[in-house]
Amino acid sequence: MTERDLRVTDSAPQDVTRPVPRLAVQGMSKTFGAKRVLSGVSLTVGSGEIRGIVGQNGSGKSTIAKILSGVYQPDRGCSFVVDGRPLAVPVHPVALRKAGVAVVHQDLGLVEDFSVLRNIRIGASRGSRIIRRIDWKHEAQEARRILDTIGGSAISLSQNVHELTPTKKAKVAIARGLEGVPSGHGLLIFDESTKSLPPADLQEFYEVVRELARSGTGIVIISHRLSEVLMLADTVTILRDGEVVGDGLATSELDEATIAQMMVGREVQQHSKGQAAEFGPVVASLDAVAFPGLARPLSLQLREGEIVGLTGLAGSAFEHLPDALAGEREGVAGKVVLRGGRVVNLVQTTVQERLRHGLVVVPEERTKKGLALSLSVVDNMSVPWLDARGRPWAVDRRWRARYAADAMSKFDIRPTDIRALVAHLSGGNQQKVMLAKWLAGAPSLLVLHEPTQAVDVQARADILDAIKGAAAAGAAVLIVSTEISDLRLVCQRVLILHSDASLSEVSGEISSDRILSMVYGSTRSSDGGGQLTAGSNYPAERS
Amino acid sequence: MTNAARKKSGAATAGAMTRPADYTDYGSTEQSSRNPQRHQIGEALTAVSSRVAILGVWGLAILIFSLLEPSTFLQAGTFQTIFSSQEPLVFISIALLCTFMVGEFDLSVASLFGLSGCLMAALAVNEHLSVYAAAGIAIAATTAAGAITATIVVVFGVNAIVTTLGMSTALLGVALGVTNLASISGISQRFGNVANFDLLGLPVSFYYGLLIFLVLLYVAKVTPLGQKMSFVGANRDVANLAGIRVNRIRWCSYTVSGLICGVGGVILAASLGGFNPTTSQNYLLPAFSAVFLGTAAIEPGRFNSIGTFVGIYFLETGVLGLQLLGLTGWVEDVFYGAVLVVAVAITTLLRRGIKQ
Repeated sequence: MTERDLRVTDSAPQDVTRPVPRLAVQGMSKTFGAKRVLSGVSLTVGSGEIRGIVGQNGSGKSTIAKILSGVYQPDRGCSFVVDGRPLAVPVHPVALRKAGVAVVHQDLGLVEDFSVLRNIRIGASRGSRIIRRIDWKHEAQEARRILDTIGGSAISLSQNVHELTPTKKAKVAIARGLEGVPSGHGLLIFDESTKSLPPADLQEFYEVVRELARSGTGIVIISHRLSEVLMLADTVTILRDGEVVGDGLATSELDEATIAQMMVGREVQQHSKGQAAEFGPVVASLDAVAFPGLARPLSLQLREGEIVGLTGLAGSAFEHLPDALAGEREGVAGKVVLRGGRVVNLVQTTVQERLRHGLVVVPEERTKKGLALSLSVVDNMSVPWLDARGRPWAVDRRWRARYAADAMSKFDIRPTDIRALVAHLSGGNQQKVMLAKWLAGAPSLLVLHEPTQAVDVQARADILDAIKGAAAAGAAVLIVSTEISDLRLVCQRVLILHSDASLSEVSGEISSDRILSMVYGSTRSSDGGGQLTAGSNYPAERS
Repeated sequence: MTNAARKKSGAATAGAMTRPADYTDYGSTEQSSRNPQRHQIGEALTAVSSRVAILGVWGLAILIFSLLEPSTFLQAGTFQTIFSSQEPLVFISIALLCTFMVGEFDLSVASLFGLSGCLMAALAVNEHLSVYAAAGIAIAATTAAGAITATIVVVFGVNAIVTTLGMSTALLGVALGVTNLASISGISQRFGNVANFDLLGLPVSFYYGLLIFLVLLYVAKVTPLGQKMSFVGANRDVANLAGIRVNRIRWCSYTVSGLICGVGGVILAASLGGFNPTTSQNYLLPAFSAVFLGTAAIEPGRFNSIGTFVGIYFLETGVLGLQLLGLTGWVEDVFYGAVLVVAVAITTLLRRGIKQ
């Protein structure tokens, strides 16, 4: 047992049933300049409790995660108690780690090129007394022990992290969070950690989390996915505008609609799907599109005004189709025939040619590929259309200012200043800017990749509205997404790509159940929810 | 508990949906400040003041030097010196700016400038070529050198700092070789008029600098190319997906940088009537200082041409003022170096403000 282990066990409660909460924070506030993003938040997480934290973008969820990981310091007057022992504010990240508090971030925070062992023991490995040599044998034992307790026996310590599957990576990240914490102790905070996991692996991940809670570790889950929080958490904290509007509510008493209402502060109306019965002519056909990972070439046809969803399991490579159409993947073959017989040959084409012919792909990662954060809204919206709209010697300033102003009022983007930097907008508003940027070209085929990723309830409704608007304006829309509930709401038909590259289609009355049963075959239970997961094996003993 | 899980997953996002009638702003928390009006005025003041802060500091420096040395500093000659002596720094700074604006980095600008001047002098004086042929060859050579750097960095993907550091030393060596390690003089006085012709009290070379700045300003602010450049500088992936030929713009930035250095070197050689191969390196650090200082003005946090232009003359005012106070020789190094560090610190802090 290491020095650190001893230190922790000395004062940590030995009996996990004692009512000392794992974490008790009182009066947690955070102010940036004149802006108060968190005010007087209290959070108490008991031993073995799974606590969900939900709220819209900007409600303070991620600020809490940053305070709990020591990135931000809370304002004065915050009391911070871990396992019954108060921590001095300002809280140092090292003190948090020593107390057993760890955050598993959404990108997992692993060094891809390093081995599993080094990733787990980063910051923990100790040198011998004088020559400071690291005892790797001891390191390996420690890492092995932790990995085994969370079902990671199959993970080799010498493997490089980039060779692992997403689930195994998540396990490595968890192991690092538990490093130095005696089994059954500690507090793990998952900050949107399931974002990087393929839908098929979520069930296994949830099991690991539940197992941890059963052993006595306190768990906090910060997530956009209400269904996930409801399924996994015992209790939930609901945030609105930096304040707690629901503290430690039992999830058994709640449903998504109630939570959404509390998050927004008023009743959210049901989304109405425009049932466009008749569509125009075929304006976009994918003709034998092929790329590495796809079992065989894919062909499909889309009509004017039609919104088609595409989903599937991770192995089917459906999620790579947008990249393939955008020219971001190697070895793509096939062609796309667009309105007026314009042909985009995917083997050899440029982005300019695609845009000119009306093939527009809205990428998934808005901060990496979608928008230049340090530039203004108007710059970002106009950049793909500079050549089409302007002259070589002058940008068409009047057009772009008008377009940006129109788009901002149409999509309800706040703040309304077209010169505002994109970095200063909330996630949902950024997503709307990205959509507006691509809609400026009046596309024949609009391909969207996870269009509602990490946006709040209201922004999601706005974005889905905007997509319907684009279809009504004459585009054929293809939404590639794992968010079944989105597809169900706006699509007239949903295609499911299987691992052998065959397609199934759900149309007419589209329900999550029908889509899920197509995705997973016929073995699904009938209570499938809005995610590609269902809470079938929820442990009954944890009440 | 199991039935709870069932119930929930069945409810599947009943939430999400259309905007309620009493929709108020909650997409952004920015508007919720307690005293919006006062806050806005304060913000506007901060925005304006940070844009023109460097002009204020410049004015302050002039004022202080005027008070300390009223007899020597506050004279037309002083300002003539400030504005007429900066041709090399202007050209090198613009060359640097071309690469910085698209997110690249070039340490070889001073050597390119020196190579051009040396070739001009050596070909015109030692080899007895016509001055125009010599000028043409010098400019072509530095443009080609810029293109070589561009190809190594952009096409082969080699680290820009290491590549341009190597190119810088190599080109300095070539320049020394061309001139046999000695300074050359004897370019015709007539050709000197290309740079020295007096226009409204200042040599025409000042106006060349001004012109090239205005061209860069126009390109950056008005043309699609300028927009594309700022996107390449801000986020290459985004630029690429927007149909911008990212690598072409990056390649051109190095090559144009070589071209501008070439022209600048020829003009300096013409104005001096010759060239000293060892002097060019002295311009590298002030150019960096000026370009980074420029990010503190006009468009805070971003490389911009007006800011750089002001930065150059601010630097020169400071150096000249300090020299008039009797601090000579060593003071330039201290001043340029200190300003560079302060300027980079300001840039970093301003950027943090943008990213926040």
